[in-house]
Amino acid sequence: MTAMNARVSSLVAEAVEGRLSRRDVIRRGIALGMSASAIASALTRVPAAARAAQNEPVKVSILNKEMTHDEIVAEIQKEGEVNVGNWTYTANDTLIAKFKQYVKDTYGVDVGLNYEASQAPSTYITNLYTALQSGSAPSYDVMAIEENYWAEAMSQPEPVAEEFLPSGLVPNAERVLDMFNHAPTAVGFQASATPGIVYDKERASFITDWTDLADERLKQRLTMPLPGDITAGGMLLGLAEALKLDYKKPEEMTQAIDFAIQKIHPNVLQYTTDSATMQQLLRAGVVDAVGFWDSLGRMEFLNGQTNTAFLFAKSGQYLVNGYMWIPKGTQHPVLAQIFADWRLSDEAQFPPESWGLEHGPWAELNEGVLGESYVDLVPDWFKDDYFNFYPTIEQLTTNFKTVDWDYYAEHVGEWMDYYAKGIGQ
Amino acid sequence: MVNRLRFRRASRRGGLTHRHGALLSTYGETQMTHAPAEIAIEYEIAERSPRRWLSTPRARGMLLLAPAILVAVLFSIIPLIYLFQVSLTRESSFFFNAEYTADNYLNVFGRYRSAIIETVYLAGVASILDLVLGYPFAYILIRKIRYREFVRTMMTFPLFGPLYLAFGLFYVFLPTGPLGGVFVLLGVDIAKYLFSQAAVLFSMAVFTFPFMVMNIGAALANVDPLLEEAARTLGAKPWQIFTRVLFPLSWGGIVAGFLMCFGWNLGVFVQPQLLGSPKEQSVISLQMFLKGLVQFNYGLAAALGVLLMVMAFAVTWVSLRFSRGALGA
Repeated sequence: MTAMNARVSSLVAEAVEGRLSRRDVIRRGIALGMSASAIASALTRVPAAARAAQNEPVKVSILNKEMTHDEIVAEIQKEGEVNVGNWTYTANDTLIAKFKQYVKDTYGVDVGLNYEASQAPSTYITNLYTALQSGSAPSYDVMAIEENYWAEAMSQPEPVAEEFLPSGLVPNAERVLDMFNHAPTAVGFQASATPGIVYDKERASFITDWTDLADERLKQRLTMPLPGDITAGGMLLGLAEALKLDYKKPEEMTQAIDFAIQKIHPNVLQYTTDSATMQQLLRAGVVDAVGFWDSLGRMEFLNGQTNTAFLFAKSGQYLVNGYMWIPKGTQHPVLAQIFADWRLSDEAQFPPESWGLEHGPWAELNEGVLGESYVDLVPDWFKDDYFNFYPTIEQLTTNFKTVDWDYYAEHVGEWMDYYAKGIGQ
Repeated sequence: MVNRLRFRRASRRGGLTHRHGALLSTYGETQMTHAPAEIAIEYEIAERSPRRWLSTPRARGMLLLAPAILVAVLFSIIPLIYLFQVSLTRESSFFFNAEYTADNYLNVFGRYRSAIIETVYLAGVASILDLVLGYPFAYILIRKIRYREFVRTMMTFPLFGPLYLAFGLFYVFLPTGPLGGVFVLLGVDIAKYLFSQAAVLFSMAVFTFPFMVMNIGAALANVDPLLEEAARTLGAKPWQIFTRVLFPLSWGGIVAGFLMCFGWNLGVFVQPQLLGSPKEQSVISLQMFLKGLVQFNYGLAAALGVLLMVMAFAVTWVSLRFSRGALGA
């Protein structure tokens, strides 16, 4: 952490603890000799709770009203709990404990957090549609899942997500780069998640791009994701890019899928989206490369598998980050927003040593930098390697591509059906 | 004549007393101890008085059955109707503005015909494996073995977890796993067999093996060992004892066991997903999961589900019909 950022963090902490007003924060920043941009950064990082604590009302869009600290506390007491449908399994118990502690410290209320995790988060969408159809409340107050599911939900003829941004309860959303902000319905909480190739650098040093998966040296030494979900979808998009084909042109996407069927499929030992299976196969030397997510590469590296790496494909990567959104008809709108804001906070994005996480799980939980104000939060123990595993903000805006999710949602069914049929399913 | 008709109606409606009912079922109406007119009047009285009707055996039977019927309707029949309704809608439209279509069923019997064949094939072969290995095992278990309960327990516990069973097999056969090392020493490339039809069939058969053994075992337990002894005394060879004595007498258990294994295996999901090649991964339940819960094509997934339900119903019905009571019918 640089000296300046240490001072910003210290000022934020001081503002929260001392319940400083905005004016006090500016005065204190000037007194500390900080630049205008550093003071501005500190201001955006002072949680809403601190502002609300001064009983300055904050705008809460879902409820369409301004709420004072006391009103927020009363609402939290009334709501009592929040249910989050989450994408990953990492450090769930720690996240639950830390969030509950945060609410207790900030608002003085004991709350419950049901933090469900699934590697098939599409089930949350099914639950939501069923609830909406039957006119009952959704099972989850926050959906923290991949961007494509948000797009799929938004493509429905009736609104399924609340419009909650910008919100006085989620000031951290302002720190997130525009490319990760889908206001008014969603905000990204991950910046670097991307489906791709995790491989053994020694055994498969020749892999530099998606098309190398067709190399004969990988015969029966490769796993690919089961045709169906976004992991396979991201692969096909990446492959199209590497072949200089446009996924929005049906005949060109067919060519990309044909390449996967004819050239890559003969190399595939198993189609799986189970990370434990892939870990075992890679470690046992049964396969040299697996098609999965970037997080597996750095988790394995930090778990001592130093030959395991994630391939940033030469032709580029498509980002498929996790986004938080609030389903229509949520019963816990205030706690949902407080959770969303906390998930974007410094500590939940870059968990400190005090959380006691091992480095492997830490690197699985952390998904890059969401904006400039997060850059200097990279811990010292990972500083030298961090940007070997995560993109810089410059790379995010140049090398990484975003998907036209509306188009994807409309066509993914056809692609997958064609792909599955081609490989014999 | 009028009285006879009224009597028949009365007996059909269940308003007769137990005594009369029993007589009717045992001897027919010519053996009655009361005149038909008397019975009809009795019935009419019973029908008019709810309290008396409630005291009849049939009413008591119906009341006892009511919770089961209610549970079946609420949690089995209504969901099935719901599933069928979803199967007639396009993609995820059921949850918003339902667009009705028969395309899902055309798709099931067109695009997914190979999936149906694969599912039936895997279920059938795994059940045959169970039969071939299960019959001698059941025989030994019933006739020869000591510590029977321990062996039964060891045999039964795979029933509780196809997932850990499949994971266990995967781990065992990894080159770094306990058996994988042996194969490596023998120069066998076990990874080739790790994700194959053989691995899937083996794990399916291990999972349903107890069903086969329990059913055949139950049937064999009812075969008097003296019959085998008698056949042997009369000069029958072991294979003749099997084909002429044991096999015919345990037929009900074989059918029940086979169909039960087959029925369970029709819904196989975990084993092909973890251990299968793309061909085995095309089984119906896995496709249902992918279509419904991953790609949001609930209509197609529901149509596949309806097909699976129909197949399961048919198997259960045939099983009950031809198992000669081995399922407790």
